[in-house]
Amino acid sequence: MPSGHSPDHGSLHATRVRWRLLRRLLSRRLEPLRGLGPVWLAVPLLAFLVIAFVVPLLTLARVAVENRDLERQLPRFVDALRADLEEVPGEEAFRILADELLTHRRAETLNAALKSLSQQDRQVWLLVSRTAEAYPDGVVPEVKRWFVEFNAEWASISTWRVLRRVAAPLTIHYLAGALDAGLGPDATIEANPPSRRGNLGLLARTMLFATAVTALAMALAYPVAHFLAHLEHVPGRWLMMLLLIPAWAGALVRTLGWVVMLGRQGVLATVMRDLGASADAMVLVPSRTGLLLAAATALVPFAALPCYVGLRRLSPRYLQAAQSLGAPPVQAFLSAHLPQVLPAVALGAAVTYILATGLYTTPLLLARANDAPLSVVLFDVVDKVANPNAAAALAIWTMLLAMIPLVLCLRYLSAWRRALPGASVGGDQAWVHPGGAGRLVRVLAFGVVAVMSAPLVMTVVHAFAGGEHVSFPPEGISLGPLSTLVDTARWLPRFGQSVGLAVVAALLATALGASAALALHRVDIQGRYRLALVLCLPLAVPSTIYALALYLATGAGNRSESFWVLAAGHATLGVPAALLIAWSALTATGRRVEQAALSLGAPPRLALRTTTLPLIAPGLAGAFLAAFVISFNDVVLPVFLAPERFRTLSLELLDGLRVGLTPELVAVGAECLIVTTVVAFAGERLMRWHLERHGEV
Amino acid sequence: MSTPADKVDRARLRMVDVHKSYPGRPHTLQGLDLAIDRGEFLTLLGPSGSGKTTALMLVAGFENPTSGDILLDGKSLVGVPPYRRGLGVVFQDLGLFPHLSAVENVAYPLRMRGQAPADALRLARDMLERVRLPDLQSRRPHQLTVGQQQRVALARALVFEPSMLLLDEPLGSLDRSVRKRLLQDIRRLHEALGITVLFVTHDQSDALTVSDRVAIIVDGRLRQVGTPSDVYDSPSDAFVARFVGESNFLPGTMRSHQPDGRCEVALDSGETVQAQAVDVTGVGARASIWLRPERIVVNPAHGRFGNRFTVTVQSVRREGPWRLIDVRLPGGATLATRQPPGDTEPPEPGSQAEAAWSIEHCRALRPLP
Repeated sequence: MPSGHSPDHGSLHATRVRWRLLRRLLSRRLEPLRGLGPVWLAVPLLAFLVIAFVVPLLTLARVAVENRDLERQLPRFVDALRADLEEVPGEEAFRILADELLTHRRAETLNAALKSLSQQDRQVWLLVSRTAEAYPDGVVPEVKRWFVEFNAEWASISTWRVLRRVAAPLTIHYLAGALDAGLGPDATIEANPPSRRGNLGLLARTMLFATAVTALAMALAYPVAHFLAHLEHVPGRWLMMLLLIPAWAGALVRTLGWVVMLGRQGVLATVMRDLGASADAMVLVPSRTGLLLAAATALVPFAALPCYVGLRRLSPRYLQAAQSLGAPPVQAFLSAHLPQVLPAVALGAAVTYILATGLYTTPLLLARANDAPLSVVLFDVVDKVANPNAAAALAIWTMLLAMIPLVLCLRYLSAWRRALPGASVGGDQAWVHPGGAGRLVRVLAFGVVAVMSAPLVMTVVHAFAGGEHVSFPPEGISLGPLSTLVDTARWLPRFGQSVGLAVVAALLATALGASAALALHRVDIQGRYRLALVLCLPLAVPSTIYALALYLATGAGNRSESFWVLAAGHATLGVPAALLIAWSALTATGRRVEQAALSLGAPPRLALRTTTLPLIAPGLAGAFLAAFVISFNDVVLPVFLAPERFRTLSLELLDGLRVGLTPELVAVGAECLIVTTVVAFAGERLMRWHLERHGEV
Repeated sequence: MSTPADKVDRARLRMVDVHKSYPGRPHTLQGLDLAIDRGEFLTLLGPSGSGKTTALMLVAGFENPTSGDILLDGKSLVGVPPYRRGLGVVFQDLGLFPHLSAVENVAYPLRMRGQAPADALRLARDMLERVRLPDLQSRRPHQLTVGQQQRVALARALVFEPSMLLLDEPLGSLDRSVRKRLLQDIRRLHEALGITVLFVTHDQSDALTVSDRVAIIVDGRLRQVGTPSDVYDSPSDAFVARFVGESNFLPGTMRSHQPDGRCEVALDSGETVQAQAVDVTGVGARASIWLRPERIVVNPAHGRFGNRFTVTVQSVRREGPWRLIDVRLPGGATLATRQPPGDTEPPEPGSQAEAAWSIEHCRALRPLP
């Protein structure tokens, strides 16, 4: 630096130089990004996901290891402890502790102040709280001596090790505790005493539940996918609708349908009673059978879709080739067909497994009390036990366990994809399989769809039947119940709030999803799947865990802005669906029209606005409707986040159902179902009208 | 259909009055009668949509005929599932299993016939060597070139010693040189193994190069079955004539018709042409005079020709060694001719010349509708 400059001048110069360096560095760093071009279109969604998805999950992880409670309650003592070394502290630390304990005793906040200690080590907590109660009000000349005389444990180094651990800002106590382990006095991990176990059992039960549900859902889904893939006419649209409506109807209405079907006054029980048989065997709510059935059928569409796509892309030629080479049908299927659809089946199973882990409403309403999986318990841990750290730790483990199959699957899937690029006959083309599916498959597929639709149909039938009780057969048919039974003053505002929330969330999801879809559409093949994978990440986290993360990230007690938190959360849940629908609309449109517009002199933005956007408009409408329905029917996020003032329709319905099934609730459920169906059919009509007008491009 | 007993014995495959129709579509096959002899290489040649692939799928067993019968060595195949027919099929898109390596693909039919894995792999390797693909056996199909994939598919269809080989346009996606080499290989294998081959294609030059006999199929009916030179030189109707090779067609009317087939046709442009009547009868009927460009001689040095006209040279081009000379008859009709390279200078466009052709190469056909 040249001499003669004042120090101020020098530092200013240095700042400038540093700034210039930084700028040069930044621009060099950004240089490769500029080459990305279309990827910029995905930036808004990426940013949104960071704020609304990644940050909450990081918060969840933080809460699971965070340990600042004692520091808040006894700040000076914790400070003093940190300064001390690995030994019993001197008089000063004892005095500070005594002062702070005394303050809390006088304010009668001793229990709250020692809560984290009580959670982390019962013996030391007992020691501290008894000491605090016995400590005299007057002046104590030698505090340390008083303490040690009161209880010799105060002179033991192990007591102070525990105190230091509880005072440390981070702890693995909760993470270990979620696995029924704890930290012993000498900081080794030990199994908890039997009285404080139960978490491992809970985790195991949750995994077992998810595995059973996934297995059953896949078994039910495969025939449906096989049947759909073998339809002579490519779309088979109405059948797809039949499959998708139960998926769109939402967990709550579906579960309500199962209660109507399998409850004490339900259809099955009543039919059995009328036949003179014992009805008890048919009361499947609550029961494991009923729970498994309801949960598995709920996930069939999600399990069937990847299988369907995989089967559609598989040329029927392989089966023909295998047969011409001497393989009988079953063997041909096993040796030539199955190895190629296995990736799709595995992906379907992995996604279904995550969804099964996140199921909330179904187990909440249908599981027996001691069968409840983690997603149900989680809310109790947050709400009743008021122990967010333990809940976060449990959630972290569950999330990791839930993601294992998906991670394995994606790993092997990419290997599979490398092994089978374009080599599969026809590449990404969809195939019509001649001859259709066999009779057995057809019967199975229709059976599955019937079982899935039955509860929904029953809900609607009962809603029109009315009557004081929910019973079967209905006591009469009238249009009345839909209007008279429903207390409009109670439900209409809820309906309005649900719609408002869903519109905001869906608009957000569609805008972000469509922009990202444009990026996916334009980026080259290699980056495409990786980017899509990142953008669909919200699918990889069970919804209850995401709800908990959002709850913790927005400050558990502070719920004044929860409309926007809810909207952001619902948009996050809706983004994968909106993105995929918009993307498929773009793929169907192709890039040729836009290129033609460019060659005719339209600048890029105008070309997009005048060609691609009008062509994919129905796709965007479809994306909006999907995101709308996801938000409208979701109940998990409102359960965790909705304040007393802002209650969605689904939340109100759930609270009602927890008390008991009434005709009013059935009527409201039926109305939800009708709204969903109308929206779904509107979307379908829109697509068809669009195709008729523009032809399949 | 009655056929001499000795022919029944010689036929490997026989299609008897085979009909195939799909609901809501015009008949795909309308009474196909075809016999393929043992060890014969027969090509089913037709434009796209003519029903040739359907015929092959019926033989392979992926479709069943609406009526009629298909016999393999005298036994009916109808109702026999594809995996019990024992026919080697090479599909248009090959249908190689992407999850298996080349040698595993070839071993597949042997494994399906209960061979031990080691034996199957050994035989598969031998077969791959026979199709000149010894080094790439452990590769997956997508790691092979299209030509190599074709050879794997061929090896897979031959390895289990099928009673017949069915080829469904397997050369469609290849460029000309690769395709020519592969055709020669197929022909070589056919001769070495003595296998009966049914080859389906729309490419007439492929068909004429490799086949013992060619069957031309149009709109689900066979038009002509014969050796490549039969089909090329003596087409049975105007469609076959138009479909195979290049042709001149001159419209006219029959003026006379003798019992030995010799006839005179008055062209619409005024000239009278001596020709051989094929499928037209009766004086006064409409006829189309057909002749190949290479059968017309421009400025013949010597020789006797049944037809000889003074013409005007319109254009002279070259195609490889050939000279393509377009000439105009006095009445205005145009003929394309193809002349061998000669020592003489080609005629100038606009000049007068002589054009001549013999009667046996000039045929009167019923015009296409």
